[in-house]
Amino acid sequence: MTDWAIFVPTFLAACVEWVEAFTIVLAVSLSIGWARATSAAVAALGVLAVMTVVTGGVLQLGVGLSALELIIGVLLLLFGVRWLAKAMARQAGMKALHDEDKEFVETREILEKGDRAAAWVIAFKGVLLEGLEVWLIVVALGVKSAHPMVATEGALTALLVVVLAGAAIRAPLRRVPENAIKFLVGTMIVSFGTYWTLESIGGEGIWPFGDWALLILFVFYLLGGLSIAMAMRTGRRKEAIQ
Amino acid sequence: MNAFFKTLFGDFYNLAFVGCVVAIAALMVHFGQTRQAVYVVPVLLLAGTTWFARR
Repeated sequence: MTDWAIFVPTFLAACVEWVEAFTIVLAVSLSIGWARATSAAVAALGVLAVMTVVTGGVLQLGVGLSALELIIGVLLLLFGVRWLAKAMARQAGMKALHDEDKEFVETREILEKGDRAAAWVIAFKGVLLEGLEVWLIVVALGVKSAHPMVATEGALTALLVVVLAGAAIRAPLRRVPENAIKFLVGTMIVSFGTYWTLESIGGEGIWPFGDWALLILFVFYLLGGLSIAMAMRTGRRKEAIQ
Repeated sequence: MNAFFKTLFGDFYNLAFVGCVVAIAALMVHFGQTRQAVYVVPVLLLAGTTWFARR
């Protein structure tokens, strides 16, 4: 498996999550200042870094390859199915697209009711919860592919890109094509999850075409997901006309 | 803590669905339907994902 197969999904998933985390930190910074809001974000990132090192190490210790594959495969399926389903629903117009401006205003409204300590906690919790999904992808893809540094680099590069873009415009990053990225990442994650789960259950030779099966799964979920989303959109339009 | 678990594992339906798919895959492999499992599992997953999208 190439480094890019690990770097790309980690980078894209992390971009989406860091943009959401940035919106929360930006809103909090207007109440308690950049220094305190940044300290909350850094504290949350510290917790995530510790979690990545600890869980990455624990998963590699004393767990057989097949069991590790099953644990990671199932975790990726639990996560990927949700991402792909949300992206399909948004693509079909059944769910509103994620709105960074709305998130920003809502966070500001919550902050106006609370105190400075509560604002710090909101920034900390926001970065931690958004970062949890990044943590899961970094650990799952990194440990299983034996490329933990590549997965970590993907997440950190995304963080750097979002922080630089955010520092430059100092406004919610609303132009990120979030749903397209979520569709792509959801598809990649479900493909990895399917591949590793079945390999752990059926053994190494289960997939026809070896590693190429991963690409076939990706195309299947991407085209299948897009076709179904388009069909759902058309169905909704017809219902609206009648 | 609730938000932590929900972020990682989703809700009950998500857990139940993935659990069922893994169980079906294990049963198919156990009963010698390994070749079929690699076609059935992705179709089941896409069907389930569609159901979640419509929910």
